[in-house]
Amino acid sequence: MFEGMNVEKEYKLLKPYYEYSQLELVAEIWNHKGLEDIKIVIEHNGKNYELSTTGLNGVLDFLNKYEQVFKELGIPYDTNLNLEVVTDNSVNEQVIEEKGTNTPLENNPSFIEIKISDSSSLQTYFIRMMNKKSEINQEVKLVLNNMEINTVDCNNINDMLVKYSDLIFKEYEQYQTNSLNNKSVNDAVWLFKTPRGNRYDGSEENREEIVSKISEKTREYQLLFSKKDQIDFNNPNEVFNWIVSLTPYINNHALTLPVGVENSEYRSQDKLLIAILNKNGYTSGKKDVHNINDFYNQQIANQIEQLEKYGFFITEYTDMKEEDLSLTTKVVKEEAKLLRYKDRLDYCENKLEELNEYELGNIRTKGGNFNNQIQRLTTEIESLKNNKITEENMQQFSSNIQQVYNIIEKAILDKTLNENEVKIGRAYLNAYSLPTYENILEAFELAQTLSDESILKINLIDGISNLARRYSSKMDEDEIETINSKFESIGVTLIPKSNQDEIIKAKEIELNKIKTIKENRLNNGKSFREKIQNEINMLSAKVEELENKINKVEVKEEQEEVIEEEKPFFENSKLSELAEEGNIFTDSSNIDESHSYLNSDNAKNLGYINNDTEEYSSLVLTEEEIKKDSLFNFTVVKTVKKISKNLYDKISNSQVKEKIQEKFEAMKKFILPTVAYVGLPILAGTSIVAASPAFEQKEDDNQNEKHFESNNEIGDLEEDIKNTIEENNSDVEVSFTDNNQNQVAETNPTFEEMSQKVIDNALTGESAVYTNAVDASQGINAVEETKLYTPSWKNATPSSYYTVENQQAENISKEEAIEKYNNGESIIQKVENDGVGIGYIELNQNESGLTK
Amino acid sequence: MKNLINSILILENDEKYIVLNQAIYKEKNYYLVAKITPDEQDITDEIKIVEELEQDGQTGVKLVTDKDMIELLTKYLKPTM
Repeated sequence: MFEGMNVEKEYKLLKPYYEYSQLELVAEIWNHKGLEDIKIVIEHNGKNYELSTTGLNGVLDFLNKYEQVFKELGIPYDTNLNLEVVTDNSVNEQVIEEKGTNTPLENNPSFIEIKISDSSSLQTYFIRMMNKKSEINQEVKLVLNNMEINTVDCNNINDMLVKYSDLIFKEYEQYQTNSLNNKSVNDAVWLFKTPRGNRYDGSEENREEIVSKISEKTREYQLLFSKKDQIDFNNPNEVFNWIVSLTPYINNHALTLPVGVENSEYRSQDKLLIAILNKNGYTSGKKDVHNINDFYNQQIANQIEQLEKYGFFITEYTDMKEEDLSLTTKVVKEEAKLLRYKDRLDYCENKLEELNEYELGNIRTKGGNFNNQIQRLTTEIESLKNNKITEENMQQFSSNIQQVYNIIEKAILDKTLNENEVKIGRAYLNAYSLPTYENILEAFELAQTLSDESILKINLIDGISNLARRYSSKMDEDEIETINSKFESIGVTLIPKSNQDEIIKAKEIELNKIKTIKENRLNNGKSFREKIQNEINMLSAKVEELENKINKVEVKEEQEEVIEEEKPFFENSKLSELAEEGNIFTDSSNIDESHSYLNSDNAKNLGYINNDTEEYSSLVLTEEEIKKDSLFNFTVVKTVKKISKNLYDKISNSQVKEKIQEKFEAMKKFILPTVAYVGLPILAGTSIVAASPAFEQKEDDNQNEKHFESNNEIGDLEEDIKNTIEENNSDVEVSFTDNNQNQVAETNPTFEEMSQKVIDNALTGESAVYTNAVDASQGINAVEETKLYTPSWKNATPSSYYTVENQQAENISKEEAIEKYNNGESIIQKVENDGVGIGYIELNQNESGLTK
Repeated sequence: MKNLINSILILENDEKYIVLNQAIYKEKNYYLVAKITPDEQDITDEIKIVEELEQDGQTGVKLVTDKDMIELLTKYLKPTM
């Protein structure tokens, strides 16, 4: 088919998109899809998202294709972990039971169905299913959120894992996280969930608790992380389990690994984990899954993808604390996400602050504080240049040496110095006269003994350092080295004349190198800052969106409460009238006898029941009254939603059931224009199913009257009524599809007619349906009380025919089947819907397959 | 067509009904419904049989008033709880 020729029909979801999980959404779409492709359009944040079934092979394709869209829309994959889901499962189970043969049976193997009563991992389900399969030697299936999982083509648990890898890998982490030791997870989650600022309540006890939890968890984290050296990276299963063991710790930004060889300070732990996995050949993206190793490889790819995108693992609502479950599931999930985003936001903001400090040069790095290093080198270079033996420097040194000499000499002559000071002064004069290495060093060491505040010391040090500079060219390298080590405290460095330029150059190179590193790191910091800022922006938007969503849900709940208060309980017009007349109670929301307008006592009191006959003769609604019913005119269905556990429990209560049954019976009498005067209103209900002359007058406006007139014509009225009732209670021939059914029933229908009739009746529950040909031939194991709802029979077509002898089904051609049928023999017909076998039915002229 | 047994229909007029049973006849859905309280916590005693219809691309329900049809349906649309 040309692409352009494929006309998709737009389908409107039954409820707002954000109330769905991915599985619920896809289940609804596939339920609705049929043979034609459909699309849905979802508006989110002013953008339209179009999701179409065109070109997709199944729900898994759909889930994969729109995975990113689901993420953008915030639609969670599954919701089967919280309390509400337990409710849903119980309802689903009920529905499954009621649906009987409706579930398509692939290749028609005989299935048994396992029901979900707990929330263990999918793997556990698979193990149970495979165990069951080998135990009973039958295929096993279970229905999970409207998706069927079965054991067909699977011989072991690995086959199951591979077969459902697409389904599983999205859920797997959740279950794994859940199955970790609860306490361990709870502590980590507590740290993770509680925003940094709120962890510390100011008390010493609380501080100790935090410190102890963090250190305990950090130790565990390190221990688990270090197992990387023990695992076989060629075994994806081992790698996957290792990652899973790290999940609560990676997700907990309060915990960090110590700085190690691989954990550079510029690499966060999520990046570190990605780097290790990448190094060992694991990457994100879709993998082909052919075996169990591929399966785990896909799990790991999925984990890497989450780390790349979010910096943590998406495990929300798997590790919620129990007390949080009192909120609605939806809000709980959103809040779990919100907490994670907020904590990540907190983390990013801290990083940004660190970055600011770093850029200000306040953070000491491994190489020391760059600003200090640059300052030191600049001073050194300056000093070297100052010490350099140049003509200009020499003159300056000499001039200074002379000045100091004059000062000392004058002080000695003026006798302003004490004996010790004179001795020290003379050492300088001596070095001035004979500037050898030894004399200079001696003068320096004596000068150092003076107090730092001494003017004499300041002058002496000044003079001695210049003496050393002035005569350094006459010293050998060892002497210069000794002088430098002694003079280090006064910031003097002598350079041997031969390589003074080289040394200055080397210092300048070192300075430039450090400047470059600083600049590069600042640039990297800028890019890191940009990344962090982007992430902060993204997270802030997410946080805002989630907060709005949560507020919206809360507001909606509040509004619903208000509506509940404002709306009158009874809105039925007839009831309203009665209420206005003061004849009926209107203020209860419970089923109560006193509020039932169909209740016989009320009806009697209100004059609707003939006290003598105890019948509802006058309850028959007139045409006018029927028109007042709120649903008399077409009324749009806004939403279809699942029943709550509460209401389900209520309607399952035997007393309520009884009451509903009572109302149902009353309704039949109430609505139908009955012949109350004969005291048996059910009579009208039986007339249509009897193949009587009355049927020929079906179109007549007064059909019921005419019918009874006809019966009267036949004979005694009461006898006729009795017969009719008996007939109604036994098997009665009914066709929903043939207006001339009475005629059809009187002649032998052709093979084709009978075939079609049996199929039609399967749709209405009139024909028994079997799961295999042998059962069909023997009329056993029929699904009891086959329900009317069997949509798979709507487009059903016969596919093959069988005879059964000695419990062995033998396939026969259609021609043979027709021949056997015409000869009055029973034949079994297999029926398919869209290529999928949906059951076996018996065709027989005598039994006619029309009754059970 | 979808199995709506035990589902809640919320209508345009804000009435809410629970589907007690469902039948398909001549490719049309029929529902036995009971009105429930606005808070969806309790069932009232209004029980009706409605048919599912499409109008202007919208799905809705309408009370079944044809007596023959009611007769036929009440035979099969017994409450299933």
